[in-house]
Amino acid sequence: MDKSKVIVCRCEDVTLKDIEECIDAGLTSLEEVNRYLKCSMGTCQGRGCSALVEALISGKVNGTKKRPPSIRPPLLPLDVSSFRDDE
Amino acid sequence: MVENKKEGVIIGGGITGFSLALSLAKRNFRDVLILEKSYLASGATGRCAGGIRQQFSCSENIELMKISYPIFENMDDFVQGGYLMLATSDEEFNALEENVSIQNEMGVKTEMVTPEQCEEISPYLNTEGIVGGSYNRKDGYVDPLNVTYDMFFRVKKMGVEVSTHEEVLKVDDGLKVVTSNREIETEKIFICAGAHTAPLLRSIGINLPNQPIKHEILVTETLSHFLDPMIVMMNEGFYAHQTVRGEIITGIDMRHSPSFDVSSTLEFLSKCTKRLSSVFPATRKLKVLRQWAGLYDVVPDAVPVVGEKDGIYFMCGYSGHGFMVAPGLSELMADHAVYGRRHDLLQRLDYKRFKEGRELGERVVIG
Amino acid sequence: MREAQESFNKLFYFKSYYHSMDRRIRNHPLLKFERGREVSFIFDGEMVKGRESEDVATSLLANGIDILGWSRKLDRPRGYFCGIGKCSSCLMTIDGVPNVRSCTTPVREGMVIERQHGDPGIDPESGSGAIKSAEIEELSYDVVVVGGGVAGISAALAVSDFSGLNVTIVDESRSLGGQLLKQTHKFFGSKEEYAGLRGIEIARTLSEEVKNANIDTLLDCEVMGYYEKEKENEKEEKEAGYLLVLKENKPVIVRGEQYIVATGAYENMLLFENNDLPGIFGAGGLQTIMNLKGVLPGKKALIVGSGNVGLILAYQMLQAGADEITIIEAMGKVGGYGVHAQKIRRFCIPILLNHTIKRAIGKDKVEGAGIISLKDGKEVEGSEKLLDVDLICLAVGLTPDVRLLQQMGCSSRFIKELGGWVVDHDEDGKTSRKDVLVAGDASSIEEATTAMIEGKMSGLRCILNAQEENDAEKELKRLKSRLEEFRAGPFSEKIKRGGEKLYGTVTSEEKEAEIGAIEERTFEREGTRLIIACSQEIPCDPCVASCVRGAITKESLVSLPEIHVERCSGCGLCVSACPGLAIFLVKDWGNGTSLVTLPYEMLQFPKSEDRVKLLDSNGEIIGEGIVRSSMLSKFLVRVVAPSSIAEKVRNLKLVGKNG
Repeated sequence: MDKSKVIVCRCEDVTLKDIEECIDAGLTSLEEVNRYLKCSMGTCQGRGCSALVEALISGKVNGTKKRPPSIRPPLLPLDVSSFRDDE
Repeated sequence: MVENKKEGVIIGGGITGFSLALSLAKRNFRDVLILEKSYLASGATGRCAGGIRQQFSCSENIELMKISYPIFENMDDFVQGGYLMLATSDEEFNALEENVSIQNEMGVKTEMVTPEQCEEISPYLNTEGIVGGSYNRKDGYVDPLNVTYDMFFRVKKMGVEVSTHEEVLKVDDGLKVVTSNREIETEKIFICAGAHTAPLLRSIGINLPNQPIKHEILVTETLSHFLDPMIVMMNEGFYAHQTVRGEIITGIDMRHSPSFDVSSTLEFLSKCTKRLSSVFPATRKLKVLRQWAGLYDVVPDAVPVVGEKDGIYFMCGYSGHGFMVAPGLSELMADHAVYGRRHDLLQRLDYKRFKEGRELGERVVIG
Repeated sequence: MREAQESFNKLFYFKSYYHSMDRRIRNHPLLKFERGREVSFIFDGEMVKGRESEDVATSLLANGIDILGWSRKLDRPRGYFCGIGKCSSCLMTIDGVPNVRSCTTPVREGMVIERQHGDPGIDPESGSGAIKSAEIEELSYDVVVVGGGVAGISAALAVSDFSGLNVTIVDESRSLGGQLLKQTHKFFGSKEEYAGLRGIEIARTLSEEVKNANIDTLLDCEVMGYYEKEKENEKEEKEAGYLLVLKENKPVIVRGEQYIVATGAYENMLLFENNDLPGIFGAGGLQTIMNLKGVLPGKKALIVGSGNVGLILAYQMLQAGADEITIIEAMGKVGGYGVHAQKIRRFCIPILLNHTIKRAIGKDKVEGAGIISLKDGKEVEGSEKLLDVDLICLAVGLTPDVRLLQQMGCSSRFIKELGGWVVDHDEDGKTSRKDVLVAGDASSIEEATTAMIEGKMSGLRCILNAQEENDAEKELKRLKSRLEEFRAGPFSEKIKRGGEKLYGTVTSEEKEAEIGAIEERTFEREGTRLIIACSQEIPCDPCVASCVRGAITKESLVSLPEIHVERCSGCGLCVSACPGLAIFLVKDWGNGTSLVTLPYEMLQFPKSEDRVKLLDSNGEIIGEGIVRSSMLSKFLVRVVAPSSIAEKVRNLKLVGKNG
């Protein structure tokens, strides 16, 4: 399988290859992998990739404890102009 | 089996902890354990905007930045798009001018600019109401997470041990560190825990005037590059810059009262987006993807606090500038801890300054 | 000159390509699509025609345009994927505004739509004028229900039925019903849970009940998050928080004394080569565009996953007019109900067990798929087969959407059996926060029927939290035992195991549902034979209710139906009532022919005197027959067949004029 053609995070184009290299380099939690590779930091905020990344980590690293991801508002993209009226 | 003896223990897996580990390792002090209570860079480091500047009013900060700068300039992703600090009143403009003369005296090439020059530097900026600003093209930013994680990869290769999700409950006079799952004996303890440093020091009889103040921040979706400098509005502590990834990171001072709470507020979301859309009208149709908050470890004079007592070293009180000063400060601390060479700057930044009436003073605190 | 030629070629290519294709579903046995009048818009410089009721992505797909843009870093083509504005696959620049979710943006006359390559640029013209703060409207309720799917509606109805508390439902779509709106199959369960009705019918019924119950609805409203006002000092009690809701793009604060979060679930992704190619859909996304928007984006499909969603989807694709479908399943057995599996087996759709997808093939869109065999979960070397497909659908499970709950500070934990991260909650849905309840798929992945009961229970719990109410107390008790009845069958083992982990009781012995071939049972009396192809204990009883003579009974909701053939009149009502299409009636006429009564839900519904081919449970032709009568309203056909094969007839196929 060509792992550079397997997309884990669509928003930020993070591939399976990227994730595996990152885990091999020593990052062992979802929060860390996300922050280094920026997966889950795009438009969908990790809806598509978090479960995959978590599974990849527990598949590669023994004894990792799953911790709830930090969910930050807004839950969906929000216009910069939402709080103002144009005159 | 978990090893419970280490030459050195660093408390805090943020920029200070890793910079220090790197500085110590370069001096062959490598039998070190870094303890982080959550994930790496989960505190102020991973929550900051990553701005790097020399535009300060206090000479100690400028000196520190002169030591930090070469370290950042060695990093591939240090983007020097400049810092453009904007004044909306004569008073602010004069203050900027004062700062610039201090900076110039110390060899930092900051210049005063007119509103027209501001527009040239940042074409999409709304210069209405702007009377002028100060600009240093060498200022810039890095991705704080990438920098810290890269340091983690480096120190790991040099033999430094890192343990995450292990919280330090207590630091003992007898050079013992009590964590959530063990007790560790060591020869030197380095507390680099941001706003959590001062509470840990209480048990060894050091009382610092530090206060944790929440500062909020938000990030938009990505756009192709349009903004070079970090824009700072002096009146409201507003700032905005575009990262290499293309997102806009922005914040504004909300004057939160001291607390360890880091929840996001609607008031900030509303105030900051309104300000962003007036400073950059072209961002109005952009979308906000996330907001979050972090803690400034604030001291009365807004200049870093360092100290040492019986083998326990600490660095804190950054008041919002920790990310940029940490690499430089770590070099000085490592010299002190390993070689016993105490740089004169450490003396001036020493925590005893508050009691001894040697307070310093930094005016340029943003966000 | 060359440039002119190129642009002409481009124009010609676009024109001929787009205008030759219309993927809108014209005829459907169950659904009618109200598309509204035609509108024209500009897409990458060319004029494209859509329909008033469509969103941008739907109109483009209907016109054969699969690529909605290219990814921001690797420039990979991307197409329609989630269909509900939750991913980044369909972001486009619309009327100068970058990164607009085209799958939820209605198409309008004269709209200018552009695909994006990489990050779009800033539009210097997009803002001007002075700033005025928008007034933020504030709404307060006793109970705020987030999510207008089956769980949310049921919760709100329970609140309004059993108390005077004022309640609202907030939902991001324009109509209530959630996933029900996309379901054309009849639901299992019992009458109380609208069993035997199709999802779309249940959605209609429930919406009507909401209207009559005087429940406030905030539709087309996206919940942006939960916020709390900051304390002035450490000692102060923290003030109760509120939801920030975007209503027609305007911020509104919605406060509740209590919140019921019924946000449903989102779909799991799968890792394989080119898993982001246009033409790859999530099951929910495909159901949205096919059953809600009326566009069938492919004719030859590979469905990955044989759970109920995958099986139902295959059947729905047949109804929508797909030509060929293959289902693959990584496990050694079919994941979903046997009755759903046999419905599609009758149409000759293969379900390849121990198979998975290795790669999607195609440059700009799906042109094929490489599938492999698995042994003990590992790839069998050299087993890759190429399938000629133009659509790949992923039906590989759901994850509870607990984002709002987690953001509200409800504690959560990872329980695989319940679908991943779930919030800690008790049986009534009470979370670690006393003012927040959870119901439906957001609590754990299960069926619509149980979501309905869970919803009601959470509503009743809200009432009891606020006031003493005997009737609500009684009803809650009754529903608790009802839920137990539903979960008594083998298909609920997983959810029960997960529940035990959640509630902390001792784990029961693992007992998986054995899902293999359906065992059929035949009951005969004086030449009338009733065949029941229902051998799995699933919670369902419309057959019992359909028989006025009491010829079908069940010991419990999940037990297998018992037939008292001496009471059967051969009326055939049970045949049309069975949601699993698993009952067949054969009446032997004694002259070598028999009358077979069977359910049929496809287009080209046979009329009396039509000649038809007769198919068995594997979709193989076993003979011919002539239609005696048919009832489209009940999707029932009576066909005369040779007695020798009559008992085996499970499906039929119209014989063409020349056939």
